[in-house]
Amino acid sequence: MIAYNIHHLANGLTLIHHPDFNTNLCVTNLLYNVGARDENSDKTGFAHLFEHLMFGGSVNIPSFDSPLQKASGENNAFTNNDITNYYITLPSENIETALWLESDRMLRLDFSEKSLNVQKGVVIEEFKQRYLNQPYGDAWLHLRPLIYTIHPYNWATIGKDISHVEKAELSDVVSFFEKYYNPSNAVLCIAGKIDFETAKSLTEKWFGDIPAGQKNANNYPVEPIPAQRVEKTITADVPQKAIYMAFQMVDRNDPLYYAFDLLSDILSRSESSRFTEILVKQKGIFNQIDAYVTGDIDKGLFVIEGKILDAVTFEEAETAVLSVIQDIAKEGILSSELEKVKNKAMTSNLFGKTLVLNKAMSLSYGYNIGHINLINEEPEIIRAITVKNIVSVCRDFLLKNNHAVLKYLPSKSL
Amino acid sequence: MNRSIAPDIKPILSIDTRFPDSTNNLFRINSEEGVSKLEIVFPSAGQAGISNKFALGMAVNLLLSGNANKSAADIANEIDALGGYVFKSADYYSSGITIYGLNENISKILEIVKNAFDTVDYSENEIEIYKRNRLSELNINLQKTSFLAGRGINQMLCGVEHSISFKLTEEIINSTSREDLLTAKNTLFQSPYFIFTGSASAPVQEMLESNGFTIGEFNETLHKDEVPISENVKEQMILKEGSTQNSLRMGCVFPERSHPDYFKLSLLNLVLGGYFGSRLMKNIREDKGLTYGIQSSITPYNNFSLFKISCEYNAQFNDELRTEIGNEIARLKNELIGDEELTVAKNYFLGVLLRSFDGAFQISEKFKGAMDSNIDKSYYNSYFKAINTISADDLLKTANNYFKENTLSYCLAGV
Repeated sequence: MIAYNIHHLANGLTLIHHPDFNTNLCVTNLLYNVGARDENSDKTGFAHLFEHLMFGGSVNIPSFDSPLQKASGENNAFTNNDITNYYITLPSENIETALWLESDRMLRLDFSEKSLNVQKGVVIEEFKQRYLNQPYGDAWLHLRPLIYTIHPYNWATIGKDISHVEKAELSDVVSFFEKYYNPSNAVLCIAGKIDFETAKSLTEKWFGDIPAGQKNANNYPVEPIPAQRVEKTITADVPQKAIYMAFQMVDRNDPLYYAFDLLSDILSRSESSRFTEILVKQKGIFNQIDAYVTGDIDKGLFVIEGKILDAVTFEEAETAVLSVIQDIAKEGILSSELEKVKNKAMTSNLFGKTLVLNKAMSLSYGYNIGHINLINEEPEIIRAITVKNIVSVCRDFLLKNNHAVLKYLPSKSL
Repeated sequence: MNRSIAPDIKPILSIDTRFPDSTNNLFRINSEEGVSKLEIVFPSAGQAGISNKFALGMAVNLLLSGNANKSAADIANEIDALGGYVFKSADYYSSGITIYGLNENISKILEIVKNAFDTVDYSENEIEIYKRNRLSELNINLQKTSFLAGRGINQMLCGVEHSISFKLTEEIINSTSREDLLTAKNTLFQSPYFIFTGSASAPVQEMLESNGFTIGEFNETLHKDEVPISENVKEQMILKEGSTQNSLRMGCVFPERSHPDYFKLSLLNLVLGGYFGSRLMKNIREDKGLTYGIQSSITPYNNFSLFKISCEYNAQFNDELRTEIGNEIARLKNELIGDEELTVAKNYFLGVLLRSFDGAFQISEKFKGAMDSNIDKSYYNSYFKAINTISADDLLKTANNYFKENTLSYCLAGV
């Protein structure tokens, strides 16, 4: 049982406190309810570019990093389609440094042309490093627009195209900040060696006078169920054929979410999983094949990706994947097969809770999706998934012939 | 409230850097969180000094691949049913199997693992699939400038004969036989030691003994590599047509951890490129925006260490990047590091150390590393004390002693 306390500030900021006196550290996890799905389709990559700018100094503090490093702390951040998340770990005695820094950049950033121009350069290099300069690196740039037609999950967090990042202007930055970076649109978790009263009074001290703002309404167009299978082939300098199959799944709060997640474990990731056993070992169709869920708040994706052996065609590979799923839809699975992936999920769940930062992230994330106690209830929710749920996921979502297929064809084979 | 004034900070005055002590080959770290980790480490099965590292890696990775009566999937099924995770590792100085599970299941998982270990027959079919998959991975890696540059600099720093420079090829993959695996297993996978992280009340010794492991005297015989002799060629360009970025690696050989200069070099490395606030990051990323990241690092081995700088960046900035790296090294040699910068670096360094000893599972990782490189029990305590006493003057001297003209080898992959 993970204990936590909640305190709401008058300006709308929510504080979650989790005590853990087994550590000498404190962590802060500050989640802003804004991600790439909040971007304009002609100004994508902005939420992530903005995350970079959050380290460029704030209204009263010229450098974010060095005072924190001086306090023996470490920090980082990530942006995804749904949220932007900033986290700090430091010795518990120095917790106030973390709150001072986080509150000042929530109050107001020090907007500068120089910082914007530098970070555009950094993000462009990040774009190349992650997406362009490695084989198959651009898969998600192609896959998203293939399956999302109206929902903003249509583009990747890094942006649709480098030019969007290049064209960002300071006025865009300021208005983005004013719209989303305010206490009403954030949740702060303080965890570790600190009691609730101290956490509360320090949060009031540093965040209490920040003006309230608007909470993000989080209204997005609902992506319709795809009408048909779509596909795209990319010819690229890659060593072998690869296939990505993406299926629309349910949203994060749907009870079936965990059925998709468990199904991905039944299919891949263990020597005993179906894809490994049937498609890699018995039939020799793939070198390597994985199934996973994207975990988005709105309707996400169930993805299967694999590297195909030279002698096998795309059609054979796709048919073989679907036949494994058909088999589950038709024959079901033994309860022992479901039990084993649940047991593994329980173990990794418990290991995850040995790190205080993980707990702080889970609590903030749970709060943001309207399910603060998720961290404690998740094991039971997973336990409650039935064989019927797994069969229904296969039959009702994965076998509708309405998935997206992305194929990589090595240019040297032409 | 004046927001421009930083809250007071407290320096880290002490860190409990104790490692588990033991009179035999079982080391225990206590943790009461309901989960356990058991590492079975084979100290003689390290890659150092082994000519065919690929055979060793395959022997380790196929340890649970089964036999005629029980397949890899059967074994995995039994482990999965208990919610267990088993990872195999082929590290530079040791190989091992690590088991993760709920406290109540660890003993049963161990039994499955030990049985599989004793009866593995390395079937041709498993070997063929393994080879096919590694070849696929190799071909993907060969398309990456980061992989090519990393491999290139290792060879330049250590020479082609050194086991750090091992270069996997399709030919090595194809020519490695079942016999090689059996030999590796029978000769190298002997005399393990154990690191258990979990409940203080768990009967670990009984569990290991009942599975046929011997708990007894621990005499680790460590392999010591030759100190590498760097190649005379100091510059190399590996062409990779069509790259959108270049990968740069620079480096040289530094002394071993027990050397009196090692702590100074560690701090010097931190200031230069060892953290987000480093000079290279500030100059090349935060001031000029030329890269997503530039780092320097020191990787310790038993009787030497390797210093490297790495960066992925836009090829049009080749000259600028090289000049700026040169400037930053020259600054370390010519100017004293200011008080504020040195304090920030030291405090950050101690924070890293504090975090790596915070929590049983963190300590177990640190301990395994310490065992591999044979550092003595007081090492991290000395480290802690030394960092506090190093002066700017010490660092200036150290920089001048270690960064001479033409010290650094330079390897570039890309266009």
